[in-house]
Amino acid sequence: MVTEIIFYSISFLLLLCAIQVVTVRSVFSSALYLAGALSMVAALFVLLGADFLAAVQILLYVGGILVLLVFAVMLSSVQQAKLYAQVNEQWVPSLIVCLGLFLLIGIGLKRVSFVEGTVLHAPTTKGLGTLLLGGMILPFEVVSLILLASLVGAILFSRKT
Amino acid sequence: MIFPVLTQSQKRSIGVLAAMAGFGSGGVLLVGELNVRFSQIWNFAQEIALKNSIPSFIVSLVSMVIQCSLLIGFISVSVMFMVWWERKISAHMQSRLGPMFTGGWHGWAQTIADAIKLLLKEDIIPVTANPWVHRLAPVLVFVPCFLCYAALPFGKGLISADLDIGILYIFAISGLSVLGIVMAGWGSGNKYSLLGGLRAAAQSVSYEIPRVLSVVPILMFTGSLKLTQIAGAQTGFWSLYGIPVLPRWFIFYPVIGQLAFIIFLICSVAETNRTPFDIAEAESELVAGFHTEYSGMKFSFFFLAEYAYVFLSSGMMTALFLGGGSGPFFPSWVWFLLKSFAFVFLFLWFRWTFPRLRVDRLMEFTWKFLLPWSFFNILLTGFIQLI
Repeated sequence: MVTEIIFYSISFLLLLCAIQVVTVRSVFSSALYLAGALSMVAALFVLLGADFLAAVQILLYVGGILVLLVFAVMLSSVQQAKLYAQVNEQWVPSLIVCLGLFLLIGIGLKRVSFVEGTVLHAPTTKGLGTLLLGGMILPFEVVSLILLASLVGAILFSRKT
Repeated sequence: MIFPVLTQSQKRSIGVLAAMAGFGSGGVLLVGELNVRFSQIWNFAQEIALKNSIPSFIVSLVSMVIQCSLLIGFISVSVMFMVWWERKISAHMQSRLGPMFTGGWHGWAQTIADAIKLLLKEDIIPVTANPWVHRLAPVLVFVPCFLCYAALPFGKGLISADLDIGILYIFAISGLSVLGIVMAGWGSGNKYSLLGGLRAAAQSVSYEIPRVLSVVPILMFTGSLKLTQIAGAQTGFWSLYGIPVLPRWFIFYPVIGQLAFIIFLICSVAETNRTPFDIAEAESELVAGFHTEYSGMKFSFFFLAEYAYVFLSSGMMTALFLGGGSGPFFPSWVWFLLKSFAFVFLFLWFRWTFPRLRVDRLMEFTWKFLLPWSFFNILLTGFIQLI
């Protein structure tokens, strides 16, 4: 009962923040709402018993990526936010595309039957570690290689000469 | 003349300090381990609840509120002490006296008077500011800091949430404060604040990385992210030919321990935005950086958060490198506080002896020096573990 109340209030806040991200006028404010939405996702992870994932979500997304995003957005001034709207005249087609995607996901979810289960609140760090350096070592290394390549690429493109 | 001649006031000060130390240690030995006392209170409360048939979730709710109040109380009192201490230390390092009047003995009540003054001051929101961002920023700076204290082990059994991901939780949540600083910088609608916010964002993202990586060797040795387990793994002594030489603290582990400690210390100073890394609020360049436009209670929240983070970093260093609350005679919470405040002194010492770094040098220092060495440290630990 209590878990359900918490789940629905977190989900409500998450949806509210997510809608605000795309509708609010000031770019900086929408970045802040994005921080709220990402934190709410972390809260959902906590509710599902994925403690390590929640901490990493906060550490990387809110503390790392979002701060860098805000760093870029900060140069938009307070006054500028009042003049330009985020939505332009193309909002009807994009809304149709979004609704189509929503329907697609909805139908997909309808066809899959979820297995009912209870959440185990046990530490997940050890299991994740053994999985990443055990059975899942190849995908893990491939992903890190891709990340390294993109890092090198970013540095190459941002060089002055 | 070997002994210096002491003036009347110096003699009095020594007398007061000796009396404080005597009464303090006596009282501490009388109280003993705090977790024993707390469990006694807990049992007593549960008995009362059973007698009056109060549901158990109300008891645990009240217990949570009490734990939060205890942490808030600890934060505010320790910050008040640290502010006074910083003023006294800085004064003595510069051959001054510092606050001497308020409260009588060496101006001990100066911070209390300052806090009351800050409470009564007018709250100003600039015309060019974004009011909501400006209002929320101090809250967003302080709340993560308070949340982090929940996972800090103050001694044996003195931790409100002994999380399995303890150290990762503290790193993650304390990273949220930067967002508050950036909000303060942007929301004030002032170019100095904006520059301060920009600098703070760049600096904290850069220093966060070596800070987290410097702890990895400890995690590799202990095999746990739990702060109590990390602190508990450091009990006992390093012995040479069967004779105990040094406590089994991680800071005394040859090469790796010292390297990790130095990187963590430097990054912690940078994360708290204190000199020599205070480019975010550099007084001579940016007036006061991100908190230029804040007054009264909002300003004091920034102040509170800064000092609370200093103590948090010191407490983390105590748990990670100095074995937490392990020590003879006194109960564990006293040892924890003693070690932590020794680190706090180190922070204050840094602030009043080092000049500020230039922005580009600051960035070069972390990316070209701290980060490679923390990687090297992890590599070295891996080799040692393999042997």
